[in-house]
Amino acid sequence: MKSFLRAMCGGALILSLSLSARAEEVAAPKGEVLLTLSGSLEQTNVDGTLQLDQAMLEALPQTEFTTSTTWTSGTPTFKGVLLKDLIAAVGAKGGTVTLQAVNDYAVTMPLADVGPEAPLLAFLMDGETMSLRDKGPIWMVYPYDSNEKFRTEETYSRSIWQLTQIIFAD
Amino acid sequence: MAGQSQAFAGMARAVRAVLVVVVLLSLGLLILLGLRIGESLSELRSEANDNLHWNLSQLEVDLVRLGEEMRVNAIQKDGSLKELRKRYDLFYSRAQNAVGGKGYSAPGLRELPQTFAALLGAYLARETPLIDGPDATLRENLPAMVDRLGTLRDSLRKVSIEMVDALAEVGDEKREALSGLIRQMTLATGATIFLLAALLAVVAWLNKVAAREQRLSDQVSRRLAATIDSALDAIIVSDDEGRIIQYSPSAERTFGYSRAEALGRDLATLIIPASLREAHAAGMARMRQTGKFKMVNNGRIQLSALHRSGREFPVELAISSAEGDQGRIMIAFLRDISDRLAAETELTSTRDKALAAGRAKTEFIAVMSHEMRTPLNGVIASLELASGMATDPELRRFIGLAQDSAQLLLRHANDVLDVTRLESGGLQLTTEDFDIEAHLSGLVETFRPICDEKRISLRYAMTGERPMLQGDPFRLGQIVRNFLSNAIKFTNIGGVTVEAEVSEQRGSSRVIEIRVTDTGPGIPYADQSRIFEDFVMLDPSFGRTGEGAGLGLSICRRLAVAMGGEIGVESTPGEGSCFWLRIPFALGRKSPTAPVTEDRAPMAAMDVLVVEDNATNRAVLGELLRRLGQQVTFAFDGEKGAAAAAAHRYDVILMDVSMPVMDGLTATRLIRKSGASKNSRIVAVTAHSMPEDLERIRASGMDDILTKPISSGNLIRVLSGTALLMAKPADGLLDDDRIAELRLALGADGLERLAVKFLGDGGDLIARLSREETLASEALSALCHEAAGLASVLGAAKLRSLCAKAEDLCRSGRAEEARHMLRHDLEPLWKETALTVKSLLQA
Repeated sequence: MKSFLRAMCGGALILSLSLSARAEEVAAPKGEVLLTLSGSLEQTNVDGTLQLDQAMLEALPQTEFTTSTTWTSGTPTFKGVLLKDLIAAVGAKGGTVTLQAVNDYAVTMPLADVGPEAPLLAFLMDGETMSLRDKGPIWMVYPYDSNEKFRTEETYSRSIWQLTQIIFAD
Repeated sequence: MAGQSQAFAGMARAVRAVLVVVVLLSLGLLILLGLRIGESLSELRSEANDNLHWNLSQLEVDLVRLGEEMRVNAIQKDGSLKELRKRYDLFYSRAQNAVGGKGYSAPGLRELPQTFAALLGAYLARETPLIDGPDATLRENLPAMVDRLGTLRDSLRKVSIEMVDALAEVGDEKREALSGLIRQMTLATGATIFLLAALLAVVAWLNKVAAREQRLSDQVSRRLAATIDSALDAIIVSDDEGRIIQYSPSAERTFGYSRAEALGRDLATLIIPASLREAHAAGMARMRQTGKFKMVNNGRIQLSALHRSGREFPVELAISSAEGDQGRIMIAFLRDISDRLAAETELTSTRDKALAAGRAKTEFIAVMSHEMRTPLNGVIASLELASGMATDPELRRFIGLAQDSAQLLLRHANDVLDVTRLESGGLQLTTEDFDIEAHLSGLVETFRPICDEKRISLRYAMTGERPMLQGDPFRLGQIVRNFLSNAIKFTNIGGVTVEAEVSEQRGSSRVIEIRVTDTGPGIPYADQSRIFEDFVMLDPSFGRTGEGAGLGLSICRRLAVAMGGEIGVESTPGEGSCFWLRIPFALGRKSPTAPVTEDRAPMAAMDVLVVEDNATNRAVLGELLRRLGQQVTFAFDGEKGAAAAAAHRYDVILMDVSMPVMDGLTATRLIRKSGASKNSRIVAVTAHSMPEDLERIRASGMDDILTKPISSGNLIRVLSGTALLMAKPADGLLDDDRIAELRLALGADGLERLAVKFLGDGGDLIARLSREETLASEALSALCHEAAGLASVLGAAKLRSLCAKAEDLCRSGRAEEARHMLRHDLEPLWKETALTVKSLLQA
């Protein structure tokens, strides 16, 4: 039943997101807000921001990969939404994107650096949602093992965890 | 110069090869170093060195903020604990990185990360239940938690400082290693640049050398082309099929074809006469097959060549072959030698004419000398007669002078005759066995009286082998006599030494060397080479004394050459001279140890008078006669001889024909007139055995003639007819007297010719007679007549009488008897006779 509802909501988001030609109020999130998007957006729902709960995230195209990280032991499987899919869905424009974490850590990167396969805004690690202690609610990760280009200082510094805010700037 | 530069170039090429290898090696080294630096850099890039510092500081930040929150909440007893719990979660999350992540581990940190993680793990395990527990319990424990957090912070700080230190150390090492690599890289790069520069220099130099060599080679090619173009000889180069591939301008002139016409054509059809083409084709085929060519590299040859006009002309040709680009090529150098051949022909004919003229002159001189002797003999005889009749002493003196002059003139004529005979090859050398040692010692002894007279010594020695030789001992003696008489003539103090030895053994022949050394005045060096020439007299006073015409030594030289030997002189002016001769002789048949007379019938000792004016001949005859066991008395001229013969009865008188004062003929007539030796056997001794001499000698009343050269053999024969008959009874095959007569009349060679003709003609006749059954009796009779005539020529009595008898039988109609007799007796008798004649020839 719950999954059915989630599917319905996802369907609504997609429906609303598909009308991206004009700024429009998207339905407010029903569950706990995991991520708040602000700045230069086409889609918003609460006070000019777009707040997304897990159901809304799950309604977007899902991507997952398994990789080791320098911060964890083993090779966890991360699942979530690619940043580029999110950007496409919310109609974000502009030159840079700033990501902010609970611990006040922040990363600013040009939108041009957003690749087709990474970064991934993961909200599931090994199928589980992530608590604050587990670098939740959202951890932006790269498939470090798949390519050397993801094992650079820059990539590591952009791998922001305990992510809650994304601000798009012109 | 070229060789040196080539050696340098060779060296440079070796250096270049070495440099290339070294440069490649250093490039390899560079690549290796580059890879290692790349590795090192990528290691540095992917490393989380800075991570540790970041992580430590972030952990510190989270820990401090958690501590602040704890202290705030410890004071505000009613505050919300939500923020504290969030701070704890954030710290927890950060601490998890140290426990499970790699952010705290780096090479060289040893067990420090584990210690660090353990501290954190222990802390989290203790506090997490309190944080997650009820608010009241949490508040209650907060003061203690603040203390514990402080303790953790100090412990962590210690470990983290250690980690940072260790990391710095590792970083230093790595940086050191990298800077080492970069240093090596720099060095290797420098070395490579240097090597490349060196390589460039070598290559540049080699290029220069190659350019120079190319220039030189071009120069040589141009020069060669110029040489070929300007060569006087025609130069034609062909391939091994005979096709012309090069053709010089001179060849254009020689053969008449232009270069354009000749190139590519076949040699054979172009310049080789039709008569030689076949040989040429065969030669080319052989060369292609075997790689050898008879004419190639074989010096110059003469051939005919064909001119464009069809004219054949003589060429001199040299061919060499070489390996060209398209296989073997032949290079022919040809020269038209028509002019040269014409000049040669001209020269030859001129020379022949000159030689003919020379021969004619020689013949003229020979004839003149010969013709002079007859009237000269008349003069001498007349002078002798006049001398006998003259009573006035003054007149006698003048006659004596005239006689001396006439004798001298005769000797000159004889010398000239000797020379011309030797020149024209008319000299006949006899071949007889002789004992060289005995011959020489006898000869030398004849000079002892003169030496004694001059009070000089005369020594003779033959060392080593003393072989029996075959040759002309008289002519050998003539040379030695000439040497000796010259030596004695010129030696007034000291003496003369004659040494003989076998100087060389060549199988069955021996070279005899005889040296006559004197202590005379010697011969000036300048004259030594010409004293063997004609008419050379070194001492004018010697010539004036009338002893010769300066022909003696030149006759010696000619005699030595005629005998296949050589003569010469070594002389030191003031010390003396040594005249030498070397003449090869065949070994004789008889052993020299066997006495000469042993195989003959013993000869009765006789009283022999030798009338001879010449001391040498006197000595030779004396020696030979003594050896034969004869009693010898000497007389020095005809008058003295006649006187001696009148006073004592001699068994045999050996009379020289031509002597001063009174010649042998006159003396013989005197002896025959009256005196003790009136009926003695008188033998003429003469070198001149002309038929007219023979007549005069017989007419004077002499019994026999002893011809010079005198050998013991013919001496025995003339000494006594009975001795000869006893030794060798007449067998009727040949008449010895007739043979001796013929020899006197014709000379030895004339007799030989006659004997050869006899054998030839006789052989024919006998062969025809042996086929008598095919002949009519008249023809048989005529043949028998001819054969009888032939047989009588050599005094073959038996053969003559057989043939004569057969002829008689034929004539009287008894041809059958004649045929029978011929069948039976003719063949064996002819064989026997022919054998005797042949032995005569061999003697």
